[in-house]
Amino acid sequence: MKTLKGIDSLLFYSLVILLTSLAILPIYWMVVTSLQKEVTIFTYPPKLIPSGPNLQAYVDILFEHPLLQWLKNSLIISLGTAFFSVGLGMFAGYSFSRFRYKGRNMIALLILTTQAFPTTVLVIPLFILMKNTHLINTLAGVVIATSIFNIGLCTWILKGFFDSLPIDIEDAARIDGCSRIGILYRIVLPLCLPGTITAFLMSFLNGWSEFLFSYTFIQDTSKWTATLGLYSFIGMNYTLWAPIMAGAIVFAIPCLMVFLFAQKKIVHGITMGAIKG
Amino acid sequence: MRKNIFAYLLLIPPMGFLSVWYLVPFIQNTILSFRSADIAQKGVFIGLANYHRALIDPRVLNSLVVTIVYTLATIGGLVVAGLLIALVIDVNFRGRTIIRGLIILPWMIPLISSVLVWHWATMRYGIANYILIQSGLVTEPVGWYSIASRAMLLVISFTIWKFCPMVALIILAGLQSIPRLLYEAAKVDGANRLQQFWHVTLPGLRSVGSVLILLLFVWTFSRSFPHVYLLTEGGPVRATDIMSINIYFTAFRKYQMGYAAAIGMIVMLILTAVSLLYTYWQKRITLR
Repeated sequence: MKTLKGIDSLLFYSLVILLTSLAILPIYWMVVTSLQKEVTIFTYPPKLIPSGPNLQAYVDILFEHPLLQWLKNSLIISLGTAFFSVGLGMFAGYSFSRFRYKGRNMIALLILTTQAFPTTVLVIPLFILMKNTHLINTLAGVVIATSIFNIGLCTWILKGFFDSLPIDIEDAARIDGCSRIGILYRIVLPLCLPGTITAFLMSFLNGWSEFLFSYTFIQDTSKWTATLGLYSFIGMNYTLWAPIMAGAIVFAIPCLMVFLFAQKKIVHGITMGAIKG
Repeated sequence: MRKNIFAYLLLIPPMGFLSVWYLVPFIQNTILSFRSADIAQKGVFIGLANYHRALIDPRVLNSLVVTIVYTLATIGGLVVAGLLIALVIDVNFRGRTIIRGLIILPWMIPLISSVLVWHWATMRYGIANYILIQSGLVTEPVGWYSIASRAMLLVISFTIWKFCPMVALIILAGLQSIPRLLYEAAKVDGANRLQQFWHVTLPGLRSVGSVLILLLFVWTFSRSFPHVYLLTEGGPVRATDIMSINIYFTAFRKYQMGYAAAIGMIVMLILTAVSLLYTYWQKRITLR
């Protein structure tokens, strides 16, 4: 850890303030705009000092528009993606972690390719496949599509956590007669709960922000996710920015909560992948 | 090998799922690219006609250029900004945790929320133009969505703003894995801070950096659909029409599925080629 003195310190802190401002200025704007009193007026220059908290915009967006329904759909997709991806990823992760066998590296590589695969290449055949299986225009279809690209992430995070677990406990359980699958469920997973939660939350966040597949597969506006719903505001000549910003913030709240709750773990999960080599 | 049978059994659920929903669609895309399919029917086999058409299609070529410019500019910006932020956060200063939390915010909030506030800010009479005019950088409001170069600048800036926290965190982890001893040794040899940076920090970041750049290239090239589309929908007259958007429009607006599939395959080929060449090049460098 380095420490600074004198004019270095001044320059340094100026840089810190500059960088932080660039990062959070748009977010500050978002918050302030959502608290504007006059919902229908936009002024130039835009008013940026909040004239007292005014939650009218929030009431507006939540009750005059189907935001709650959109949020419900987003929640279903996010939870579905998270459960699915973690559920499948844990099997692959455990298999890669505890066993050596022919074809292991190839299959691992295959799963890895999902992380780098261009989604627009897959969206066309998936659209056709969804149509044929009558999953088009369903939330389940979107969950499946999003999970494809999340299984790899979960596999790798979980494998990392499984690797760090000493094998002695499992050996002991095996000697005591525990079935192999029982070991996974009763011993490994409970001990790797932080890892499972990390993988779950990351998949949840990916599902929450998902756009391409929900945009392509869903046609009923009743099934819109919040992303699609909020996006529809851009199309029109909609100048009621306060409710739009309120909607954006409401949609962002779960992400912020997840982040606050699991900041260290998520950061660890991301960087673990990058430095593994 | 009863043990290994279990290992294979474990793989059945994930591999079963991926076979049906990943491998099969990929094969289907390949097949589709050789056919004249549209949204209603599978079309006839036409060999490499789609590929040939793509290679001389001015719209596809424009997309390719746009995507390359967008990708390279974004990666450049991400690496520079990420490195800067990482170097700053690496210092142990008061309020560091709070600042780190704030800087990560752009990456943490959902894409659509970020896009919405950027739309608000970059209106013709919005805050962004206001700041630019007040600070004398421009003389009249900039049309961010109506001028090609401005739209490119917009989507590049947005992507950099959104993802530099992630890049910064990865670089930070790399920074913190450089042994402090090396810095001490450099200081003993009389190196000032700039020299330390050049001779200890940068080489120390090489392995992280090389993987990072490849990943960023692949991700930005192929996964930027929402970031660009939600802002400009392909930009004023295709100025920001990246390959992903091009493929999407060809398939779902013009309904030319076969042709779109072929363009997608071309993207895959480019990515594979670049990845292989890059990996080979990196291996050559480290073996020297």
